[in-house]
Amino acid sequence: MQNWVPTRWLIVGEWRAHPVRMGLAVLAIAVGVALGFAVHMVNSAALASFGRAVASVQGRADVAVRARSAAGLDEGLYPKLARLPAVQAISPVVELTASWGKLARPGSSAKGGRFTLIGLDPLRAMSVTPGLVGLSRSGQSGVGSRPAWQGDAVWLSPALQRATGLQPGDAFTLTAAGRQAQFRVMGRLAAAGDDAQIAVIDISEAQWRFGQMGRLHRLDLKLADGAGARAAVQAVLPADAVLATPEAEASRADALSRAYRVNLGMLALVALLTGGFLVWSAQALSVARRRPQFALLAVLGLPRAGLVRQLLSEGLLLGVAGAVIGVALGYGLATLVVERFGGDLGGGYFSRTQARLGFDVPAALLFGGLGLVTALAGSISPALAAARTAPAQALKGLGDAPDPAKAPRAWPSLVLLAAGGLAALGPPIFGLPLLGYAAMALLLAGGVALMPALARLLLAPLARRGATWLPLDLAVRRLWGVPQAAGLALSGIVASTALMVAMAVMVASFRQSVDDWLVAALPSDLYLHLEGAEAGGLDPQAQARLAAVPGLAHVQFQRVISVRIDPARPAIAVMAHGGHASVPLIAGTDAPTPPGTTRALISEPLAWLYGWRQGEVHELVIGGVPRRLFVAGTWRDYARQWGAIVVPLEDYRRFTGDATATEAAFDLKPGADARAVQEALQAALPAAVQGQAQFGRPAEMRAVALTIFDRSFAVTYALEAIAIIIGLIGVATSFSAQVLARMREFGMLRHVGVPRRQILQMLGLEGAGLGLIGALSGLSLGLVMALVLVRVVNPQSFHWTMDLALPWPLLAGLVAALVACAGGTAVVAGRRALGKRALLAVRADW
Amino acid sequence: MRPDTPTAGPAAVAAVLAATGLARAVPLAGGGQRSLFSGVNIALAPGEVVAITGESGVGKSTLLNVIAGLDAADAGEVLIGGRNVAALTEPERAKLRASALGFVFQAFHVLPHLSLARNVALPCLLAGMNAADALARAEATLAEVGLAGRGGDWPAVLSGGELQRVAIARALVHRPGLVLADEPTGNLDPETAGRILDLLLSEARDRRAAVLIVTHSEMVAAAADRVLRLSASGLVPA
Amino acid sequence: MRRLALLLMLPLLLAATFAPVRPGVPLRFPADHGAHPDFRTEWWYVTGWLNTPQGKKGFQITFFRTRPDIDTANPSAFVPRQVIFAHAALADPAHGKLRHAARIARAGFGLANARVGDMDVTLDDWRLWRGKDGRLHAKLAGDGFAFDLAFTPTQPVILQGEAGLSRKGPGVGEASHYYSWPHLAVAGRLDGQAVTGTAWLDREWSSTLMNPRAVGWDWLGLNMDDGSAVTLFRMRDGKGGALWAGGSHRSKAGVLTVLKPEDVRWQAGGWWQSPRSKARWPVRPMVALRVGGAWRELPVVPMMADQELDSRMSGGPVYWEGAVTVPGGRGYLELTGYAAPLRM
Repeated sequence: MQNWVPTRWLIVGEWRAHPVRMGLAVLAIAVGVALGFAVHMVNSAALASFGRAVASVQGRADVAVRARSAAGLDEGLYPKLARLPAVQAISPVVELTASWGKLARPGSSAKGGRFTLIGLDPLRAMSVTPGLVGLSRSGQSGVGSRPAWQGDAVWLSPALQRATGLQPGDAFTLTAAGRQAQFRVMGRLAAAGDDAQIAVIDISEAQWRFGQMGRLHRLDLKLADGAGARAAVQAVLPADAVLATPEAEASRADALSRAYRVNLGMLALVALLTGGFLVWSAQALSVARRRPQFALLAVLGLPRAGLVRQLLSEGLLLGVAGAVIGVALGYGLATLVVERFGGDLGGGYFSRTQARLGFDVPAALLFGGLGLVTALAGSISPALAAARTAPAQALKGLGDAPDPAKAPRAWPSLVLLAAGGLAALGPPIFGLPLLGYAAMALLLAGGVALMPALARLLLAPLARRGATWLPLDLAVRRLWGVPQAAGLALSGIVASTALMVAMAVMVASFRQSVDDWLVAALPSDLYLHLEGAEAGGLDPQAQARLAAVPGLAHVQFQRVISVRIDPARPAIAVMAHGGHASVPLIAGTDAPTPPGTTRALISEPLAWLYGWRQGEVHELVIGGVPRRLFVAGTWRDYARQWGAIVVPLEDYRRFTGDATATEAAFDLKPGADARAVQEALQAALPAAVQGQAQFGRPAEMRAVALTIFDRSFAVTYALEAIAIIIGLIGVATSFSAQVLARMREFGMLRHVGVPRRQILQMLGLEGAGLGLIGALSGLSLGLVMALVLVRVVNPQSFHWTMDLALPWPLLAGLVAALVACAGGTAVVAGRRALGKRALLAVRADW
Repeated sequence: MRPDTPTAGPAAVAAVLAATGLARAVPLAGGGQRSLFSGVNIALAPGEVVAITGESGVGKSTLLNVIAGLDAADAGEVLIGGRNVAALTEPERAKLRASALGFVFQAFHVLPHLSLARNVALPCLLAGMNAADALARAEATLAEVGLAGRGGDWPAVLSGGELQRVAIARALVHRPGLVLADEPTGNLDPETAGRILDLLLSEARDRRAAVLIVTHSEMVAAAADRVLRLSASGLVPA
Repeated sequence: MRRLALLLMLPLLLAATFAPVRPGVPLRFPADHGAHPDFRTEWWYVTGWLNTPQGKKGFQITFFRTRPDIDTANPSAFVPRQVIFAHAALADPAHGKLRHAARIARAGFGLANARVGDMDVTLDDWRLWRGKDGRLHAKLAGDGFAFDLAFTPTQPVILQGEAGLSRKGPGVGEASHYYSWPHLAVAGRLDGQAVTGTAWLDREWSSTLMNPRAVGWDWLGLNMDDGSAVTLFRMRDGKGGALWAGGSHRSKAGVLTVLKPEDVRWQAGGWWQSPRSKARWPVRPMVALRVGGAWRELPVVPMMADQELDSRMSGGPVYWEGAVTVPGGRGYLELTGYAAPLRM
């Protein structure tokens, strides 16, 4: 058998000699693994808790019949369904968005929150959703005991009880559907799970106190076995009801954040990929530098297989160390992120639930394993190259030396780039931009592989002409003559720069588009929004009182409801808008509205998701009846990823008889004091909804929106920063390694009379040149990748488009920093190399 | 091996090294080939010291590489300890080098990241010895080359002469039958060179190891049992 | 378990909105077969013995109506102005314990209702009603059993107490309107299999009937083989003594004797402990009644010891309701308040 002792000695010796370089390779892997693992953990924690919350609100019924919109269903459906033989048990439910306390703006200290108010018949719920049936103070089931259920009794889920701090017996004032009512806490819904904020009252109280007389929002069902049962239920459903199966609910929860999660996951994998590049460049350099060592070992009798084994063992050790550190880092990062930003990394998808983090062993193994594979993959080609080397020549410092006459091949990288370009044109797969990501990966690989040929091409004119200044001449000739070495040093920096540029351009474009959109979407002076007012907001009297407030030039009321088109997708927003709709149109038609239809403007995500096109007529259930909508235009919307439709308020009122409003836009008279008007409006609001009312002025709303935006991209920025720092350190170490490997060359130069200063200048120029090539290449590659992100990945993931905006100052700064850093590193490394040992270096073989 | 090729005589059967009819050419940049040497025959008996001289570029080092199995001859064959090097697989050749050959280089080639003892112990390990025995043997051999107790030192603190002592210890530690030395004194001042040469030869003789030295040095050649001169037409006594 | 419904209104015994039990109100039929929604609680209680190919089995079909104490202006159709609940059980010696099922719902939406004017109580797919032919019908199914039975009267109803006003305690107003219908001939299907048998209907409605010191009660209804019928009950205090007792005896000739407390003796015995609830039940009591000055002793023997029914999942108590025999007769025995004292 092979003797492992020399392998071990050599690895230990190498690591002791170059701890920084090895540490960096480990760190590269660790960061990649950590990011991947952390993003995965945070996502799955958030999704699981979101799923648990959905299940809690549902009470885990087999299936549920849901109202398409907050207007609900006629309660006549209840006996109709109950009599179906397929229905074994049924529980009618009134479900309202409700709030308590004063809803806090971000940053405000006011106490309050949103929750789901559920009204049910406990006698029915007992056999369908027992988790929603509360226990009274004595612990006895509330079923049948009159005082437990009727009147002002309310049960709170553990999460809501924690949030409110209420104890059994306390009074609980809550607002829903624009009405306020006081209840008394009877106890806790112990079985409701820790995630959902729910309060449960009797269904008759819910109907009466919150204006839902005769309406239901949900019917939870327990069905007989067999496929026919669902069909039997489906057959009797009216237009305003949908059958929501658990699969559809799960898919809805998944759909809500899928694109976001996949995007972050892909970014994490890209970070891991960058780590792989760094391992490869570290190992390749290390092999190049140790070539004489390996040659000696080969001469002394170490077989090639032993050599490969040694290098792979090194890669394995790097990988294991990186994976272990990465998993630990990832767990810490995930914990920190969940504590600081919540389960959605600030993305705003799961704000009402609380994520719980558990250590996911299979995922840890998966991401650790990926790190390991990356490290091994990064080691394998240098190992094979080392084993191929003829030992005798290598020992003399000959053989394999770069031959300036030989030009590097460009076509494999061009093929990769072309393939990337083709992939970018592909359609989404499973609703995800997988081909877009493949395009990014191919472009990245092709771009990096192209570096040697590109460096040579760029330097060719300089090299041909020659420079009169010796340091420049030497630097150019070196870079031109040994482009492989340059490519090696550059791979990490090109990769990380390209990614950084791509992300920076994407984020900048997105931010700019959002900012423009906010300006276009908020033309009025003052806005009012009622939180949690889905089921009903301001009645006409209240609207009239608001409109009568002095200082107002014009008021537009709006009623927003959510309507479920597809039970497996999140509901869309239907915005009934009074007067001229102020939405940022990206396309519109002046064609007259066909008779019998309502003129509707659809948002871009809606057009993507449901395939509606301008000029078409589509049906949408409003007020229990399918209405024909004429699509008169498409508008840009970044706020409602699942789609929105603007319809005229008068049509909505005609359809539904619902004259309430949930939003209002106010234009002030010239000279009116916005603050005073706002206070007057606040005072004019009905007392019940004062806690729900949020006033906003466009400027501050824009500021808040952009703050939220920046926070959601904080994680993205952090990823970029880490990638670029690793890339820079990679350049520094690989460059200094190359400089040290050239000590003999410097010794020779000094022997022939080149002053030390000029050698340093040469090195600085080489470094800066390398940095410039790397930065420019990374920049161009990054711009191409940014195009893919902006034009392919984003529309396919989030169903919205944006205008390309280039953050030139940031990009210029990045290039300058890279050039300075590379040049500086070269000079620093050169100083070390030109110390006393440099003169002796001519004599030494290494 | 062609049956009609003249092989070494009966005396060569006991030889540590027997090479016959070796030829090697190198490709030229503009196409075509340049012959380095051809018709080279050489045999070394145990304990024999042979020096090879010749002009620069005549292929002395290449000849050593061919003998060591690191380079392939265009014609001819090399027998080491009776085994035909060309007929071995790459791992077998590596094994042969690890067990039967020792190397001393002009540039010492002591691994900078291993202690002296570990440097010296490497050939033993590659020949299959366990680590403890190899290190003990290395310490003993270091003592024999005048570096007693220095096994824990790092190569960086050593002078050129001391480094070559380490190299000599490494070349002999696993008791090879043949030591191949390529300009072993080329990087040393004359005084040190003399001492190092004496050390190499005496240690080799003590172990009855044959030594084949490639050198330009008159002094080295003078210390050999035989001196051969390499030219394009072959290897002839100087 | 007649008084199970009481549990649902324990704190509200003094509510004034309920109709009181008044003497001198004659019972009228078929109106009094129907519901009396002004009273707090009411039940339709059918028990009996079935002859099946596999032997004799006992059955219980009970519908309760209770009116929660709700005085609200809430017009919602979901306001629980009446709550209907029902228990059904099959006593099969081969099974060793009861198969039982329960239903409960707010009256309304046509899904749960107790009709006024004649007997027709529905609760989802469970129903007990009087047909145009004058027969009673019960159709319902539970987990592992299905009843589809018709009950043909063979005798007139028995008006318990003073012409249907039955006192339940020493206090004023502790009483109910109460009639029984013994010797109902059963024909129909059990789990699809034709069966015959003899059954007993108990009908009672009241707003106030339980003495504050009572912790439980015992009840026994017997169809005697000679065509006579025996009804016995007693309210127990915390020490197991009788706070009140009563009942009736109707001879085969139709002579009705109303039993006063001093005409009833009830000696608990044959204690059996439930492995599930750990409660101990006196399932073989020795009862005696004095008819015409002569005491008649009836040792009660259950069809099987384990006829415990746990209705706690639907808000009720744990009680024992089982088929029993006495020499020369068979019927049903009910025991309550043994698992836990009923809280007053």
